[in-house]
Amino acid sequence: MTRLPITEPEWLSHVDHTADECIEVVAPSPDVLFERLAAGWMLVVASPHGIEPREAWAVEVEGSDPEELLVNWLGELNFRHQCFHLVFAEFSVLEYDGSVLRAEIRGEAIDPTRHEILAEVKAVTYHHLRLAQEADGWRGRVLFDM
Amino acid sequence: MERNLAQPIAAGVWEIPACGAMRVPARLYATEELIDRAFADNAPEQAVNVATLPGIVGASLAMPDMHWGYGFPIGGVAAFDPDQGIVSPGGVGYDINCGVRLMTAPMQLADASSRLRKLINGLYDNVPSGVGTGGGVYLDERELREVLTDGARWAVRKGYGTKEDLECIEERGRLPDANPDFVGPRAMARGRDQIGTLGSGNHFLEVAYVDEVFDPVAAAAFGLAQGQITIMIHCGSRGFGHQVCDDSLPLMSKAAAKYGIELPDRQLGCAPISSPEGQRYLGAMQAAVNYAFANRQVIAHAVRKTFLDVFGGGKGSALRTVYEVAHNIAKFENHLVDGEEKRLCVHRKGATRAFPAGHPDVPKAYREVGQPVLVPGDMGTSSYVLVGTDKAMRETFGSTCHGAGRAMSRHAALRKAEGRDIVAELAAQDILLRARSPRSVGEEMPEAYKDVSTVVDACVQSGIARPVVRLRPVACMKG
Repeated sequence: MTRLPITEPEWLSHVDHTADECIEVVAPSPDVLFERLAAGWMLVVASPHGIEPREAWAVEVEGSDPEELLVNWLGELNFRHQCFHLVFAEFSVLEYDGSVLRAEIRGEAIDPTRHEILAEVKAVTYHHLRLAQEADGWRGRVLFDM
Repeated sequence: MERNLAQPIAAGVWEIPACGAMRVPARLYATEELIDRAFADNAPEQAVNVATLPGIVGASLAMPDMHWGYGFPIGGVAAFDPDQGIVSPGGVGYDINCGVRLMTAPMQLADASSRLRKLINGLYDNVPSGVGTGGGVYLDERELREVLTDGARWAVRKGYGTKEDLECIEERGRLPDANPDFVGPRAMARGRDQIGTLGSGNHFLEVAYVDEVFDPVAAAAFGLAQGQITIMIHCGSRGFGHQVCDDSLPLMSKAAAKYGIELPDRQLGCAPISSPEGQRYLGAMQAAVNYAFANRQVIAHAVRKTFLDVFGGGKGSALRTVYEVAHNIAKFENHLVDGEEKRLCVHRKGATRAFPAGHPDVPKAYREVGQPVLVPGDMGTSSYVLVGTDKAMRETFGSTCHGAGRAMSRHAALRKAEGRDIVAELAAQDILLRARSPRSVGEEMPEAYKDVSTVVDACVQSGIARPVVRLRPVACMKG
């Protein structure tokens, strides 16, 4: 399980991009990589302060390959955030096989008195998308259309 | 991509000749300065990729404000044959029918200046804005489907504005072939409570005045006089349009494979216009176009209400729509190709339609001078009203630039803004700013954008638009 970090973690970096927002994450396994990319997305969208894991939701997404799976995973979270006005504090990937991902996410409804929403991600894109196993573990990069 | 691949072919026009898989050349509209910037980004490469798509007609074009976009470059214009060609969500963008409306108020800056603070506070209260904003007009499914079918006409029917407004909106505020049946449940869910909301990012409401008149005849036709107060609304189809685009991308990737279309970039997913997949996207995309037309019409109504509150009966109620343009759209238009009139599917992504004098789609009141083209700059400098030209009609499918474009990433802008009071800096230039988020003030500060004048100069140099007036902001509201 990956908990939303309060301070910028060492596994997350921001790749400078003129119009949009690009993050890069390293992790010891693909499961954790997907969790950390979700946390990275949440940090783009909202300040981590005050977000509590009060409710849990199951998420299941599919993709024809790991890249599509990643886009669909983050797209699903972004949809739930924007449509149901939720913010998330914890991300647990329960099952991952490269084409199906089952997870549990924990968070709460947005409360403007406690939560600061920073930005609106229009969509998760394939541009600059990268998923690879490297010497230091798994590396993932994703660009959000802002 | 190498800068020397583009050769100048006319003043302000560069061409990358067709080679390899390119079916047509790529033509880039830019000054020397802007072409160097464009190659530092990968917009020219994206224009080249677009040139490989089936059924493309003439050339793959990029306007002077070109920069990297999803699939197509921002500033990209491409027209496709309806029988042989494709339609691509990458050629429209996520914020379907993001666009700009310009209105005028019957008052001079001097009449308004003492009440600008009250005005911007009123706009801030009356127009929901900010990230993830709901709070607009809540629609049940039946009414949402009416919005998707009727666009701005729905809004006028509901009392948000007048029939005169419709005459001064591109396509009169409605594309007729929208099909709500092709819109997915997620987009419908996101569309329920966002009509009448501004959103965030680079979307804004801006009160300005006419700072300089370049073309008195066109300015008079548009009802713009030196010193006159104007209001600009910049926003689009909100989460509804983002979701329509998002939903279409996997389908279009599969369609490209199904129809044997080789894509140089996965983000150029597309389908033949005549295919079921192409028709499905066109129907849903046009529904999002209509959503955006309705959104801006409802916001315009809230702006009128605010002016009424602040300035009272006569002046407040007399806001007139000069024009409204779409920036992100694909639609069918007639254009001359090799001397023959053809119906084409024109994609404009971060580009503005710029039809010339005499064109039947230009409102009657403007037909002798041409279509108004609205080009917002940043909140600290200026915006422009241009007019369409015959040259644009011949060369760019009647298209020109749409804005300044970012010069700095959001992080770079925030770093640059650190320790500064941008609101106070703007106030020192007599520009009031209200914003929901302190972060958006930093991200959207004037230095984060290119100088819109250089983009306008490039359009003028290449003849694809003529300047009419320059607007200087006095009060701005950001999400």
